[in-house]
Amino acid sequence: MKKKYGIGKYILTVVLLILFIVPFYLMVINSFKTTQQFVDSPFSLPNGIDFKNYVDAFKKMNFMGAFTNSLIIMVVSVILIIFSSSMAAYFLVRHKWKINKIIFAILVASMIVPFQAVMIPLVSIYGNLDLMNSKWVLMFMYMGFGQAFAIFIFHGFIKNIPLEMEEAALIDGCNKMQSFFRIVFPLLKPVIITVLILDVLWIWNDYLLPSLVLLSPAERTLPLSTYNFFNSYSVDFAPLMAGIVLTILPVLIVYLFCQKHIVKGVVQGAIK
Amino acid sequence: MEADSGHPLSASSIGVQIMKKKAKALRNTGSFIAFMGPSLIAFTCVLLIPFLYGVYLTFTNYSPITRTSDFIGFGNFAAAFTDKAFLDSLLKTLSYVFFSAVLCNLVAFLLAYLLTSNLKAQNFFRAGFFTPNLIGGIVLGYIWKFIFANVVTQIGKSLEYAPLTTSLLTNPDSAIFAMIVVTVWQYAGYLMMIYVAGFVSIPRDVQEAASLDGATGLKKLFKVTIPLMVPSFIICFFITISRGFMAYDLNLALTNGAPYGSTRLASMHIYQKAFQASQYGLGQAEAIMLFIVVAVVAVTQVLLTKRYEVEA
Amino acid sequence: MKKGKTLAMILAVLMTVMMFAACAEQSPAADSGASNTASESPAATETESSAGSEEPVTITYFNTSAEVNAMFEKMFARYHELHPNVTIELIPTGVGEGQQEKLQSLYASGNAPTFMNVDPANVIEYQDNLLELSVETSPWLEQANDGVIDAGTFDGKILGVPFSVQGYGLLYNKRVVNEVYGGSFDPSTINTQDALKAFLEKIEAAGIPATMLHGANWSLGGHYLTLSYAVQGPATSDGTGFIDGLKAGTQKIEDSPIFQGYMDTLDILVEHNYNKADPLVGDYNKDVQAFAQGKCATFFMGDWAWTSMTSLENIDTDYGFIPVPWSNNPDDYGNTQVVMVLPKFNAIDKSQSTPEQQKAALDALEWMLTDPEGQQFFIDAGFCMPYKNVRTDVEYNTMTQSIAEYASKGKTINLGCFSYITGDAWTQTGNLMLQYISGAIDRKGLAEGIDAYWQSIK
Repeated sequence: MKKKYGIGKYILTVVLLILFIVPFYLMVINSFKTTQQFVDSPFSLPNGIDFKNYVDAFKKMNFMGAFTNSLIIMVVSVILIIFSSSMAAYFLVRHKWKINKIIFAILVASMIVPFQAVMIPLVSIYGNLDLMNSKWVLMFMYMGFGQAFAIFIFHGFIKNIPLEMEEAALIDGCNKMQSFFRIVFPLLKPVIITVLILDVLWIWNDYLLPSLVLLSPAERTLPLSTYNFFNSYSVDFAPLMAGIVLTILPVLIVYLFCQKHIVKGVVQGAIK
Repeated sequence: MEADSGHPLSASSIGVQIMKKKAKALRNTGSFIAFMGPSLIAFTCVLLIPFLYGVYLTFTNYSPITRTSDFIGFGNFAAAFTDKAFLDSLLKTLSYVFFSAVLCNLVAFLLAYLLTSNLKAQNFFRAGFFTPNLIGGIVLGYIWKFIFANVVTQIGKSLEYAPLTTSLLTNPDSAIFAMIVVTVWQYAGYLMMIYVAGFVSIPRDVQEAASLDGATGLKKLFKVTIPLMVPSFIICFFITISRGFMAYDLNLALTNGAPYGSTRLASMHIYQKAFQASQYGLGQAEAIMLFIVVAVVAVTQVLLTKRYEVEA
Repeated sequence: MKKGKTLAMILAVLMTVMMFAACAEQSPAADSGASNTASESPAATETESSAGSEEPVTITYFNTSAEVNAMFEKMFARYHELHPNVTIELIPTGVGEGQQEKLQSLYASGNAPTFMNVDPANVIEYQDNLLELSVETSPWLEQANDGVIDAGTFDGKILGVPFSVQGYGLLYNKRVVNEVYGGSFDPSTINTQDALKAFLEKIEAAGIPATMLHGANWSLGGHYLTLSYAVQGPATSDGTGFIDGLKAGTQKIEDSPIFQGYMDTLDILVEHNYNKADPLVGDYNKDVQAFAQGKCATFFMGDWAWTSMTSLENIDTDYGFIPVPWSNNPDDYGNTQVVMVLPKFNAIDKSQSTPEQQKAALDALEWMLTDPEGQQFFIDAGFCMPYKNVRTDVEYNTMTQSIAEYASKGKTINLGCFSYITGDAWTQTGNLMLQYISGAIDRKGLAEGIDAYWQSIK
């Protein structure tokens, strides 16, 4: 078929990619230099691969402890968000009640609330209930903050799923919950992956919310420990960049892994 | 239901109907709680209640430091309406949002289009375009400041093009433009994800039917693909518009208002009012006003674009 | 497949339940551990504090000197070894993070730090929440150098004690300047505007950019412009009185010859600015590095610049300070002096901390600031501590040494009014200064902007 990728398109894609990837490339190559070399000549390649910055960052950040905290918080929060929001979105799509329309409108509106507008009320309420300094409360907060966006995305895709299959499942004696998880949920796979990636990224890299909620040193996440241990006036950039590379490496791996699944999901959708 | 329908007047059947209605209502309530419960509880506790409490605080002289507040009515809103710097920052934000939303979506759509038309190694490419999302905060700010001050000026000098010989970030007019460039750089890969999902969810038979009808290349894109992707456009424009209005992190990392406060967008102004100038109530009132502005713009956008939605 | 989904669902429900259970467990635990504010009856206070000293107590320390977070962690670990019943948890603030916002959120959530290292402006802002210190109950305060306790006294109450003293002025690279002067440069000869001008021109004639202004609002607004308030007179009240006049509108800054003088000097500096081509880039690392490599002869900055040079290689290490003269009379206050400032204060919270915690914080502070072992941590980090009992054999870096020499001759500008420049003054007036040096506004516009800013402050 006439599905070949034109040379013009190919060049355009590569040029765009270079423009997009340059800052990331700068960060990676400069994480192997000293800050002085970075400031003097950021584009030059490092004089050999020296992992000193990485070793320093690893120690300073208490990497393993912070990594574990980040991982627990991210995994639990994302699972909570995906299940609760896909269920809610499904219900909102399939029941065109007035109350559901109002709820959906409120959810969408909440996406445009500036975080600064809820920050102080949030900490003051949870602080007075003595619910601060717990990663479980932080996960609950992520679940709450993550709802609107995830429901919004799921809502748009569930709308396009034909009703017939669910009806058939209901006739076969499934209850609503079963028909959702057996029929609808698997069909959502591509969009689940999208929500997953966006939420994983957001929670993994988030600084502000954990800095407000997690007060004790033992609870620190990766971004908290990365930013806390670098000089403020003159930022010592080289080890900081090593710290950031260490922080985002796990997400990058997850992302590449999920990409494969997106393609699979696409292929499945096409066959159907 | 079917059995009863033949005897609408029989007392017992009415009773059964009522009971069935009740049972249905009960079942509905049950499934409402099962499906919506976790979501609504979390949303209400984390966002809704604090937001409403925040709205209440705008009518008080609350101080986070002493945690005391007295009711003062509309004083904070009156002050917000006369805060010229705030109104200026809102105007600046409007133009920033307009240009960044349009450019972000153009570039993201282009990327998604390029990356869904049978390119080899598209996983690698998608990951590449996505990397800007992985860098945030001061490192993003520093790298871009460096690029604008050193790389772009080198290009400007070799082209002997005067406006590019000094950093774009040190001139009030071009600094906003520089912010838009970085916004596009950062968000295009993110939106690309959503557009990619939109592209691949277009049923293949529709595309093939279009091809058989003789539609090719650009014609197919405009006549078939774009109309079917209106939902993706709605989502992406909504995201860029709302994020644009709330832009803070990028503003802070890249310019922090520089040069001399000319690139202070609405969120940054609010933030500085509330936390640096310690006028918490005023800052909060301005945040609510910003929320209303964004709500009006975003709802208008969704309503306008909804009209173009078509069924596959 | 189906089983997998059901399992996943059960898992999700389970986690939700677990989460709430965890929340429920959390509350009492947090209660016993952390601070509690409301129930502070005097009776309870006495019994608690008398039984207190051996009870384990946890206190928190909020630090805004982000460059030494690691130093404080080490210091508190050592303190815990010495006093196993006291645990000090550091609340660090990071790079690029709103420190004000963090502190406000801690107060708003009832998790106020027990004690903290903050800007003088914060001490004023939080003064109702801070513990008043007194020399009678804390005799160690007498170890502080003259004037230090005064600087930490706000509305007649001692609220803050500093751990370091810093200075700023016109830094010069001794190697570069001596090469131009043939080794005979004496910084005390730069005591008038004309002398400064001649000095800069002489260096420029030798082909070296003569000076550097850092294009950031904190440097030009927070540091340079503040000179024109502080130099109004040697007493703190001279500076604050001048600012009060600006606020009330009875004083126009344009009418101050000192302001005009400093702006004339600024014009001279702008003319010889290394960053002249693009003055507002404000890349601190790059500026410090350029100065350290001798690419320009002088730099309007403070001795903290040294911290950023410690990791650099192949740079000059011999520096000194030159005053920034504002007139042509060498006897005018400010023309032969450099600025001495206490940039941070330690203060103790009384509003949300138990008396037990306050006592523990006070004891810890005494150890940190006046015990030789505590002081050593600060000395190792390169701080100059304003305390009488501090080791005298410390070899400071050349910048700090230069400041110390001026101090020993009494040649310092009292920057007491710095503490009263609160809120967003740095940003707002600094932005005006940046507009001025880039030519976007003239002197009149600058003066009017500064007046308007101060009059908008209540």
